[in-house]
Amino acid sequence: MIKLRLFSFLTYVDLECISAKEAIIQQLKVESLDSIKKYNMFEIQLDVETRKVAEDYLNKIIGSSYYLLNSNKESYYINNIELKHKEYLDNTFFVKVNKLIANDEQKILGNIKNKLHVPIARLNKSIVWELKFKNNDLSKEEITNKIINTTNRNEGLLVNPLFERFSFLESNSIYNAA
Amino acid sequence: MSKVAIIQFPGSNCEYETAKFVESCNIEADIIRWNCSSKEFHRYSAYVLPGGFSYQDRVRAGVMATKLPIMKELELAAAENKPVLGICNGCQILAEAGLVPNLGGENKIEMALAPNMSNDKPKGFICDWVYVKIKNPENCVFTSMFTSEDILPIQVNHGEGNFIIEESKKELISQLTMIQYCDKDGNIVPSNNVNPNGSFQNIAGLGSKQGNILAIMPHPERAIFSSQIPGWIDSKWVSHKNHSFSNGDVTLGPWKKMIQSLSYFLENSKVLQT
Repeated sequence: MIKLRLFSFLTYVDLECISAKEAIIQQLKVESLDSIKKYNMFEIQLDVETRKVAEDYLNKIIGSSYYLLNSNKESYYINNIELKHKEYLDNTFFVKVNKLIANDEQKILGNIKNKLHVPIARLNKSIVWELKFKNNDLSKEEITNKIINTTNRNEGLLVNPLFERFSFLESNSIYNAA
Repeated sequence: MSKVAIIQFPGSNCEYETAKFVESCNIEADIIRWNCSSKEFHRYSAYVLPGGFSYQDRVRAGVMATKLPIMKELELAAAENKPVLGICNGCQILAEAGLVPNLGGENKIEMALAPNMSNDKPKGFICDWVYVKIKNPENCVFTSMFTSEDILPIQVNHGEGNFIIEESKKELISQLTMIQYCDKDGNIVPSNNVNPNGSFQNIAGLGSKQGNILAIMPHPERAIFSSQIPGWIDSKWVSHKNHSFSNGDVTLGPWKKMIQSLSYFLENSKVLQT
C-alpha cells in the first residue's frame, strides 16, 4: 500500500485568495499578512507495491480525467509543495481544513476505481491555506483567533467551527525546497 | 412613510424580485448598494438581504459579505430593533454575522449553513418546491400574521442550506420563530423527501431572540403572487391560482402575510414613535 499526496492549485489568479487577503488585511486588521494561497490536498492510498507504480497511476488519473483537478486551469505537486527557496517558509503557516460533514470523497473514489480501473483504496480531501506574513509578530494562537476560527464578524474567516475543523501542518512535512 | 432597503452585495441576483415582493403590499422599497454611506443606510426602517452569490461564495457562502463595513451598520440598525430579513444568501450572511439566532446577545456565531446533505452524503445544489410550517410565528415581526397551522409552499434554491446549530443552543432555539420543512399535510418528519438538505429539526428559517431578524433559506419572494405557484404541487394555492387566472386577477400568494406582518410592525412602530 503506497500513500501519496496531491496538491492542486489554480494556475491563474485565485480570486478566493484575493478576497480572503483583502478581508483579512482591511476588515480583520491583520496588516502583517503578506500573501495567501490555497491548495486542494488529496491524500491517496493506492493498493500497489512501489511508489513509481503509484505515481504512474496518479498521473493516469490526472491525465485522463477531471476527478482530482482540471488541468486546463489547475496545476499540481505530488507529495510536496515545491518552493524555490527554503527562506520562503519563514513566517509561513500551512492550515489544513476539513469538513466535519461528509464531502464528495467517496463519489470521487468510486469514479476513479470504476471508470479508470485504478487500484485506489482511500482518498481524503482537504483544503490547505498557505499564509505568509511579513514578520513573526503573530503566534499560532493569535492567527487562530484573528484569521482562522470564525467566532463573529470581526474575528476569523477561514474556518466555521460549527462544521469545519483545522490543524496547522508542519511546514517541513509538506515542502520540498530546491 | 416607512421605506425598506434591499441591500445589493456584489453577486446578489434576487434584489429586483425582492423589491417587488416588498412593494406588493404597498411598502416602498429601494435597492441600495453594499458601499452606500452610513447616512443613506440609516434612512430606512427595515432591511432585506436578498438571495444570490455574494462574492461568488468565496471561502464560504456569505462570509465575505459579513466583513464589509455595511454589516456594522446593519448590526446597529438591528440593535435599534429595526426589522432585518435575510433570504437564501442573505440568510447565510446573517448566520455568518452572528445576527441570528443571537441567543447570547453578542452577535457570536451560533448557527451555520453547511452544504446540503442526504443520508450523510453530499446532495449538491437543490432547486425544488417544498412545504413549510412556522413554529412560534408570533415571536417575529416577519411572521406575526401567519398561524402555526399554515402549510406554505415555497421554492428552495441553494447548495448550502443545511442548518447546523451550536450544541449549547439546540434546546434554546425552540422558543424562537422556526420555519420548518414539512410534507403537504403539514407533518414535520425527518425524511429526505421532506427535509431537502438535512437541516437540524427540518429548519428552513430561524428568527432572532429579539424577534426583529429572520433568516430563511427558501425564497418567499417567489411565492408572493398566486401565479408563481406551479400547477403540479399539491396545495390549496393551486386552486387560488387557477381561480385568479379565470378572473383575470393578480392575487397575492402564500407569502403575502410576511410583508403584511412587516407592514403591520412598521405602522405600529411609527405610532409608538409619534
